[in-house]
Amino acid sequence: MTGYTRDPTQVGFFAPMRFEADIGDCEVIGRIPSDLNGAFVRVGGEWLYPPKFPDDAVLNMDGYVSSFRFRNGGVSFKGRWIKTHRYLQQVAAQKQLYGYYRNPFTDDESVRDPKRPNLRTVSNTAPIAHGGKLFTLKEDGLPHQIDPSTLDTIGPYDFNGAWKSETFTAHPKIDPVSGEMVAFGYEATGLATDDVFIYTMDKTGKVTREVRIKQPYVSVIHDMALTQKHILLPFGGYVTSMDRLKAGKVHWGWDSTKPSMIGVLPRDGDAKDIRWFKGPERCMMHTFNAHTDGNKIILHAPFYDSNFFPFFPPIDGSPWDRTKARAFVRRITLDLKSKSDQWKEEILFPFPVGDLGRVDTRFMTLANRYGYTGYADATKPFDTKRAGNAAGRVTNCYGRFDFTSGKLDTYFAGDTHSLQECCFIPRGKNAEEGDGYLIGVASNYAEMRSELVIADAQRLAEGDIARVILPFRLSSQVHGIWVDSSEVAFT
Amino acid sequence: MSWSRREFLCSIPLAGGALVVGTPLIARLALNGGPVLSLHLDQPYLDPTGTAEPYRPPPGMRSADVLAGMSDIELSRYYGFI
Repeated sequence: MTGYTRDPTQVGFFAPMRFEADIGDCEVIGRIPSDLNGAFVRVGGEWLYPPKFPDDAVLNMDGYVSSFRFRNGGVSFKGRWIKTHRYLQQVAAQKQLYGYYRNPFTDDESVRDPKRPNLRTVSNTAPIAHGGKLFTLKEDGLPHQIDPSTLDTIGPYDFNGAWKSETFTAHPKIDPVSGEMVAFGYEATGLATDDVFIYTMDKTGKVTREVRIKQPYVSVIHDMALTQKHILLPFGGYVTSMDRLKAGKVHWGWDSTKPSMIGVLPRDGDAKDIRWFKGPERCMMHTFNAHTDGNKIILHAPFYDSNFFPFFPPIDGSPWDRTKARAFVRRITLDLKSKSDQWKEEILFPFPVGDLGRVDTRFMTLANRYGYTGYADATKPFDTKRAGNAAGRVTNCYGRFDFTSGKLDTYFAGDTHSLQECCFIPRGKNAEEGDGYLIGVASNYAEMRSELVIADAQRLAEGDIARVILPFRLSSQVHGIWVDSSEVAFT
Repeated sequence: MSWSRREFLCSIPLAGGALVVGTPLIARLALNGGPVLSLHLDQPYLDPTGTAEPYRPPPGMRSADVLAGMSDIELSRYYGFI
């Protein structure tokens, strides 16, 4: 196998890892809270083989799942490739067979199949646990069921044939009150189709409801939000078409003339009940949470001003504008009583943040106070002698953003570290909102290794409670979740 | 430092013995003005004169250096989630 060294950026901390790993009892600095019994499950990507096109999207990397399993005050680590159809095809061929992100027309002839694009999924975006099962997700294919103990891939899952969409979102939402999961698939009937199928599953994972809608224009619906009464589908800016795909381009381009949109569907409604609100140019990737308050819906989300992804270029040929690729903590108010199709937007904190926003999931669908995400604080030190010159490109802090008071509490990872997405773990089922732990993986650029940091979420400024030290680097996580031992059967 | 052919040939048995016997003996030899053996990244470095400074690896791996040379587009393309 050759090819990685052609790319001068695949070096240093970011060189491909490519191996699977097990550590039975990890080195720990500090003390692991004894009340943590479960696993921090992460999903991200690695290039199994170098990409076919050097300008391909990082989102096209092969899926990799890893877990930090906590029990009895100790931690074990496990990392596995997600054995998708695509992964198995490539292993058999011993080379990269797949072309651009979500464009099967650019694939090797041996696997090219534009009528079944979901066979190309790398399942590299997010995990979810529901109905006693663990899944990895990517929005261009079906969920892949994963054994929570071994991380072995069991295979694609269609909810016993009840899931009819060809795709499944990377961000379904679980209602903590009913235990239901609400999920959707866009481009549900094939490439560049405007069909969106929305499903509700009961707490056992059985599909109980289906609604099929049409999207105003085909675009990324990456995330959603759920309240006790409504389903929210935000999207904006990204466009695609069969002509674009047949021309051999990456799946999405950016059209700044397209409005951002939020679809609002009552949870007990039908397709005719969906209402589309329109807003200004926005890149709407991730949400914190939403709730319904009378005739209003309040959505908190770290949306970008405009296109975040340079590998999805503007369709008018203009250059990607990094100054607009900034996310802010926003509050969006949708007035269901108003005849206007506009929403009200407020920026709650006047500085850019990472858009991988998280909340205490026990308060999903409900009014909640705190959101968590990473951000860069340029006033914090960085040791370039030991870690190298990162040119300020580090996410060195986690923030607890108080939506109510505007107060920010900060965790600083250290002067040689950069942080990946965080995750909140409640101290117990009955703890008040925010009482628990904030965890996440930090890249230690001085020691060339990854560390799982664990902080008291109510005392972030005090730093770590504990760090789990890995003797190697972890590849980039996209999303991770805490899976409590009561949610799945760990062995 | 330049070596004559004679000096080089004389050092071979000493170097071989040093690698076999191991670090404790080498340390004693060093105290006596003998050769100094250092190990870095599992590779031996032998100073048969005993006059060289022991090799000290750099204090950090500087593994973020690649970031400074990248454009914003390259950064987002390759490391969108660092």
